[in-house]
Amino acid sequence: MIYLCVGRRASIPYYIDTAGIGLYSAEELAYYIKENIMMLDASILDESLCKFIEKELALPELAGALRECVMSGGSITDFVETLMSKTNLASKDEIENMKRQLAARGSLSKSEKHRMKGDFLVKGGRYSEAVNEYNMALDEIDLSQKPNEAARIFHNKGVAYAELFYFSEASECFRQAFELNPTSQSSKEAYFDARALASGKVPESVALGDNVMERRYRRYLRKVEDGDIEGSQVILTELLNDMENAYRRSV
Amino acid sequence: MKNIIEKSMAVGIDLSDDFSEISYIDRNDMNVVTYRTGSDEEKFEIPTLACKIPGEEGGWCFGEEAISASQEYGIELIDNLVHRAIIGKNICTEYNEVVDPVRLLGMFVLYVLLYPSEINPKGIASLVITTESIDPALPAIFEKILTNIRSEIENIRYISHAESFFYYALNQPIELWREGVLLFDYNFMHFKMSSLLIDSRTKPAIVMTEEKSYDDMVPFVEENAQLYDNIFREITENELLNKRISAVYLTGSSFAGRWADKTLRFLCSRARVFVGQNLYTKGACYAAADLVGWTRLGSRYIFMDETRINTSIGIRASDGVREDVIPVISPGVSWYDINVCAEFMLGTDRKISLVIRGSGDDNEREAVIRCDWIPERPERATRIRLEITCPRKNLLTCKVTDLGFGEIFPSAGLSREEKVELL
Repeated sequence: MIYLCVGRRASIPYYIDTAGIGLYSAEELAYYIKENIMMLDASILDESLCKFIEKELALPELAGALRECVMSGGSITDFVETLMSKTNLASKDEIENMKRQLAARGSLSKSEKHRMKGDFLVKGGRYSEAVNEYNMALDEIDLSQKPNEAARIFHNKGVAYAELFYFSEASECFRQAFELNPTSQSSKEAYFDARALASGKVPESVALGDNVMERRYRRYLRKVEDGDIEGSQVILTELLNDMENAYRRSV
Repeated sequence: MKNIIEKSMAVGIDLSDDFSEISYIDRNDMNVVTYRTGSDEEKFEIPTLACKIPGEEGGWCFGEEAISASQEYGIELIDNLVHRAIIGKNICTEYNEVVDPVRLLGMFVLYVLLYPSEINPKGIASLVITTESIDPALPAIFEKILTNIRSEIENIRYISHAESFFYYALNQPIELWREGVLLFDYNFMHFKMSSLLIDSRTKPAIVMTEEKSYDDMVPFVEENAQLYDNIFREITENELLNKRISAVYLTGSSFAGRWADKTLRFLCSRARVFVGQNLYTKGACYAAADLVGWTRLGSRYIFMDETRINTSIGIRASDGVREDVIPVISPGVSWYDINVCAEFMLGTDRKISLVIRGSGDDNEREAVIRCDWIPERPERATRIRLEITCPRKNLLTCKVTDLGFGEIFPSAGLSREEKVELL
């Protein structure tokens, strides 16, 4: 099945600062809203978005309806519902689901909101900002009252640090996550991997996951057993480069 | 201050292997003018000839200039430029220079286009070239030779003499075609009679030509003029038996002399009669004006000949609520004019359904174009460009290009072509 395009493709995109992304079509705008419904804030109720829809996407009627929504003090929910229903870019069920999610947002705690924003920033590759959000989330949470939620925040903060190659900090976050939630196998494994990386070693989980890296890892172990420190450091550097390249390819 | 040249001219060129002619129409007065090549009021012909002046400084010359150069330098003229381009065989000049016949035809067409000083190429809104018939090789040849011109002239078409006749006749006052029109085309190669048939039961009305050839009349020999007049009279009497006609047109070099007095007297008693040598170029000019919407003939009458497809093609698509078949190609379009380009959003089934229906036929069939080669993405998160062209009658080439989804899912840069038979 194919679908008719809504409006035209913009020559100048609408830039979403928080996501670091430009949107070129009504379909992209709708997709972004659907995928990040929990992250929407009042900044979407913006004349510049209405102007973009009117001029760049050539949808003056939609822009007029959204403008009316903004000027009459409409909520984010009203705005999203107007956008989706007038463009048929979401089914009735999807629109209802989005409305429910937006309503549920009101009942989220400050900590949850910060954590979700941190997760959103990690998805967008903005790891430093994500760490700040996780810190704010931890400031708002009572570790003893909500250990699992706190563990989740520490784990995700560890992931953000690891993406920044701050393995010592990452290792510490995973350790705290595992302490708060001892049942979390992923936090435990992540802790050991980060610790290995922090001390310049290759994590076993990585070494055994790739043939080329596995062979390099085994050569590294042989050099260490033979007491060839210089040789082992050279191979370790090559191995860390392999891991870095593999990471870059994956994103 | 930048001078903006208004595109206010439509041009029609009659391109034949013996002579070519050019007409133009200015939007501001809508009078078709055929360019006169001599002092004689009725001289419009530009000989379709080429000649290469020898030597390093020598270049190509065409038309009457080619004839003069040939006489001055004693070199051979190159004729039949259209036929040579269709055959495609390289031309070897007397001085062993090899030239591509398509390129040579292109140079001649440009020469004809720039011949009248009244025509500024930057001011041309549309150009229609008419030839006796549209050989299957001609559209590709014209595309090649007109590539450079397309940057100046966006609207270009090629039509047959029959279609040119249609445009000429129906752009005359209604009293000249309401009851029927006849055309006699007579030169050293053929004697043809064409009649326009208008089926007004449909909207828009369908128009066709019915052609008959009379080999007895070819070639015209002056000594046998009386014989030819008798044969011509008989042909017209048979044709007009129990039939009313509004107008009769006579065109072609063999009608130049006054040998058909008897027949003309008979024809004049039955209809308005016009003799002229620029009917096709004027018809092409009317077609050019219609192409850019200066006249509305095409919205009321559709001309049908063997180049037209008689199928309609649509694309099954949804607007998010309802599914429908979006028409993209209507019956009556010339196969070589088919050039569809549209963008859609792809569903997760990753297929495009073309719905093909024959004219006057309730049955339809679907041709599915699979897009499995496009990376998997969520529903309506892949923009595709679909381009449909027709390399020959009844065969479509459908090209699908993955345009991605902006910065969210960048395009893989892939495209694929599939062929779809219409029969």
